[in-house]
Amino acid sequence: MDADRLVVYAAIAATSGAALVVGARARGLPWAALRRAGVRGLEVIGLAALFFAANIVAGTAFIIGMRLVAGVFISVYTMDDLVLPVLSAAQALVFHLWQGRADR
Amino acid sequence: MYALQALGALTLLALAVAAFTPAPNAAVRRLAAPPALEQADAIVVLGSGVRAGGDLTDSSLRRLLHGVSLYHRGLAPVLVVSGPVNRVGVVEARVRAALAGALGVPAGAIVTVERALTTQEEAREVAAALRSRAARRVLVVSNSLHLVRGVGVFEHAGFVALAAPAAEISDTDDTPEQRLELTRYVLRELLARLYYRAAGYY
Repeated sequence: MDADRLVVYAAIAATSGAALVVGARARGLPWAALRRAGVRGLEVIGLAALFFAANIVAGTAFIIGMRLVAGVFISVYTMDDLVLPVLSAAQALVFHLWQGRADR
Repeated sequence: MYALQALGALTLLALAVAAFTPAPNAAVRRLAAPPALEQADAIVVLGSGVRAGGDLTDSSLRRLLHGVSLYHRGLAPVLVVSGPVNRVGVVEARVRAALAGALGVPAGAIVTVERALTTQEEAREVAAALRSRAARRVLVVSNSLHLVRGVGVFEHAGFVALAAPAAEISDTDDTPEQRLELTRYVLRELLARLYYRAAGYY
């Protein structure tokens, strides 16, 4: 890998390290909670994947329905939009936070 | 909850494979149509979009330039440019025809196809547009992934179709962002092939 490409990963490693220091020292967060947070993170990512798949299915079904029923053409490529994974992640985060509140 | 955690871990793993390994490059190499540049009756440049401001999209421009280049190499006497109207009334095929003319293709050699919205419709409309010229052998210009389906659809429409891939997708791209883009192309095209197969379009 070219050295210049390492800059991105170095930046991420540096800010992750800084966040660990701030969390552990400045805010006194327990290390044991970090593992649980990682597991929760995986749940959010899993939820995001589910929302993403559901959005693709719902959008494609709508497009095909519009073609068949209303005779209106919408390209299936409309679903190939980068905003879709971003909004799916937002949906997952909100849903997960909502679930967390309800579990308290 | 364990299922969600497992799905999350799998998603992360898939993202890592897509972004940081050569798997997408290998998939593109495996799924792309190899060029078959031979003498033909017409060069057909498949549509790829025009922006609201009237400029061709990057892929549309690449395809057109490749088609014009094939025309100037003498591979066919006719250049068919496809592309429908966009949401503000700009017709991609007309923008392409004007540019092809400016690049030295005679107006009499240019055929526009303006109503086709999908690859399957393009094959049908091109067949109608070329009927009077009795063109049977066509060079189809699109990106290398799309061309497996594109050539299949044109063969289904009665042509002898030859793949002429434009330089839109590079299997040598190797940054994480480029590899994610390749993954996106591959997944999109695989779904499209499934749909076209199921619909009996090729």
